Amino acid sequence: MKIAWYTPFSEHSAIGHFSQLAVAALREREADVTVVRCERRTPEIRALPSLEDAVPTIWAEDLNRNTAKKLQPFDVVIYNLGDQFDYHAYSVYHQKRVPGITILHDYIIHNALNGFVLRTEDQGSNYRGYLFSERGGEALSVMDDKYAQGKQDEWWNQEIARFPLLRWAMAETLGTVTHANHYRSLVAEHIGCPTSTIPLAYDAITQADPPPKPGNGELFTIVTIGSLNPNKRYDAVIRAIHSSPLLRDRCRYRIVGGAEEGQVEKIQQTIDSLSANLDVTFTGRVDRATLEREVSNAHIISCLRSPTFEGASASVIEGLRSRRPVIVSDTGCYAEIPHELVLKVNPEKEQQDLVAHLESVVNNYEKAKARANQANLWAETNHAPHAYANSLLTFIDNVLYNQTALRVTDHIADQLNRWNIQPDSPLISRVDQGMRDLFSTPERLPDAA
Amino acid sequence: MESRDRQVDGRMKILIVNNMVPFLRGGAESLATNLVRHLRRYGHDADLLRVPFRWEPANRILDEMLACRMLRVNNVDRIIGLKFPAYLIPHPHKTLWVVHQFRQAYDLLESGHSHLGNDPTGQDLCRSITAADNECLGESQRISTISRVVSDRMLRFNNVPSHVLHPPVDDAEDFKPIASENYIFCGGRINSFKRQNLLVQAMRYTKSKIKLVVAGPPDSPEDGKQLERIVEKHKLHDRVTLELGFLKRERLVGLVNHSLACAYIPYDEDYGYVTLEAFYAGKPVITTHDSGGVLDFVTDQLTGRIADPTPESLASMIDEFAENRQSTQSLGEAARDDIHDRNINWPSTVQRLVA
Repeated sequence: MKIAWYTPFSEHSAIGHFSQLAVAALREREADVTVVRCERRTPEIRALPSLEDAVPTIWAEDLNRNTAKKLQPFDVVIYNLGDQFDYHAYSVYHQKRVPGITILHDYIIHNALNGFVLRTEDQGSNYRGYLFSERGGEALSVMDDKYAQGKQDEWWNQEIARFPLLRWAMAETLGTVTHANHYRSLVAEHIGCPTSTIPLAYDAITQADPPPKPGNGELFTIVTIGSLNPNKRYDAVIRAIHSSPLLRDRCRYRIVGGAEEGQVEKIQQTIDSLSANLDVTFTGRVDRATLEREVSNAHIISCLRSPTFEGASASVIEGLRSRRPVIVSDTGCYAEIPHELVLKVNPEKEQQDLVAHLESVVNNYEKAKARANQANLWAETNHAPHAYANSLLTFIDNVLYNQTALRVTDHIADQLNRWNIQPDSPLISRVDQGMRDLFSTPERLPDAA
Repeated sequence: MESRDRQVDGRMKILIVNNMVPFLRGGAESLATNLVRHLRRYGHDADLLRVPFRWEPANRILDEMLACRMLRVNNVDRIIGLKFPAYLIPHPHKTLWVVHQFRQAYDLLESGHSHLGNDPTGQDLCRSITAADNECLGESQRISTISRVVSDRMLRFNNVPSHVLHPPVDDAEDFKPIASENYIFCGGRINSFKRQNLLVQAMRYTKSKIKLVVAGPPDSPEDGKQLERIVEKHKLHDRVTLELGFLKRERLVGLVNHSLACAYIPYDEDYGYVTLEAFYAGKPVITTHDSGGVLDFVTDQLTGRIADPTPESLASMIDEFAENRQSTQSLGEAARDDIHDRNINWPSTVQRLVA
């Protein structure tokens, strides 16, 4: 099978690393995969160190003329899509010309939409228009209220999670892969395509054993990795450490990852407001070797997220594979991790749960490590690249099989739309049943939503 | 886009698309088969595609519209669509010769004769039918209708102009003014819209000894039984003859040719070959003010009489024909002249349809 695999492919991209693993596994199964870099070729992105691939990669930008003809030799195009437009621009542009399968890495892609409309403003597109067309007047009024109150951060950091927008980027897609079940039904409902959940393929960042329990006068190291995003709950970790005498004495906190302007200062304000001598460190953006060292030195990995925008988290898989205790929010994809393997924090009583979990690790580090060992075994199986490749190839087969039916369905939907047929018309369910009768076969049904 | 197989000498591959109700045949079915025959006669490859259509239950009409719309017709230079929903079948070179639109969604809805409810569901359905018609009319290169009344409706409800192209009678030469026996003839399909019941009831009120012959296939058994009940109830057996069933063409032609005059009183008819056949046979026609396309042809006191749609008014006209044979014959001769003057024939019809 010839596959064009659209992906960002720099060292700073977790999706790029995932692609490295997945593509290698696919090639082991004799798939002929070409990596197509879907980033905009900006000076900033060109300056990032590229990932290595077994064969030379090509840039999607070079396929921008006669895209359909150039992609014709491929049996299927896989478009990786995340929430940063410049990193996924051609996964959006080219899917509109050559529909393929979307691997949707983020549940919420408002930032990418914002980037998209900024880059395509000459076509009259605007964020408000897309928001209204996909989510209606309520979403628009919530956003307008936040902006009127000068609380736009609340829109971008909280409220957008209530209003997922996908059609602007994926309306033409033939099928979608989600990393977790929690947003699978959303995709199936909004895009109306076959949808399959395949756990993200990812590997361990470190093979080093967890550090021993700190002795007297030594500190437990809590680490949060990845780009600084407001939903990673740094403040919550800092407040938890501050609120517990035990944690204040025994813990330090390292925030490992690049930050946008002003983000570090905001967290520092929280630290300063607490008037305590807390050991909190910001490393800034690090290379992979440094990241490996940071994780190796950590006793606890914090992967809190609230709200959840991600479809999956490479960080949490790296945490699970590190054999160190991992703390997650009990939401989104994190809630789908078996509860006995991680320490889950209910966002409704975040502070209380967080203090309890951190104290339990400090008090019984060996028990926490035993749990982490089990988590590693589970993650090794659940997120194995070879398992991912097997599931993906099965899904591709299903999508290609269903492609004809989807085209017919789209054609019918267009026609009914022109005739003003209402969504609740009994005709819709009869057409749906007819399509199922014609095109579904029992062995192909489970993965087709 | 032209079909690659289009013949170089101007002959075309033409597909006529029409509805069908299995085992039911009427004027539109004859029109379709005659059109195919005459297209072939003038050198074209012509074929007929008949799409099953059933208008009840109303909520399945959309399915049948959609089925038509999903069809793909290849290896055809042009399609000629006759009836809804068959004419929705897409093609880049489409000509419409509309026998009628789905009147239940238009004028019959207004007049309270539609089976589509005037509730939100029915209104949605009507809007969808209108949208489908508008889409189809918009993509058609030429739009003709079979009568002024059909064109008027299309202009009124869809705001689309069309020109009238009256369908020829295929065997016009068989209709001749052979004799005038003592009966009024009413032929054609029998149903409540054709209102043969009014004519039968009119025979209660006639003063002359004239008879009435009603002949044709009832659309449903009940349509036939209704006429029989009227005859029975009013003891009209010696005045009214009912020949219920499909008539052989020779029998029909004979009944027209030997009649004193013909009567044709449908409610808002689209066209009606009956009128033309009567005219070719030199018979004047009794019709009513609300008979639609029939009034394209019948001019009161020139080629027939136009009555009110009541038994009494019809009886008066029947008596007038019966009691003034000379005048009746004169009207018939004028009708015959009129229909020949109109020059409704297949060569010019084919020429206009394939132009």
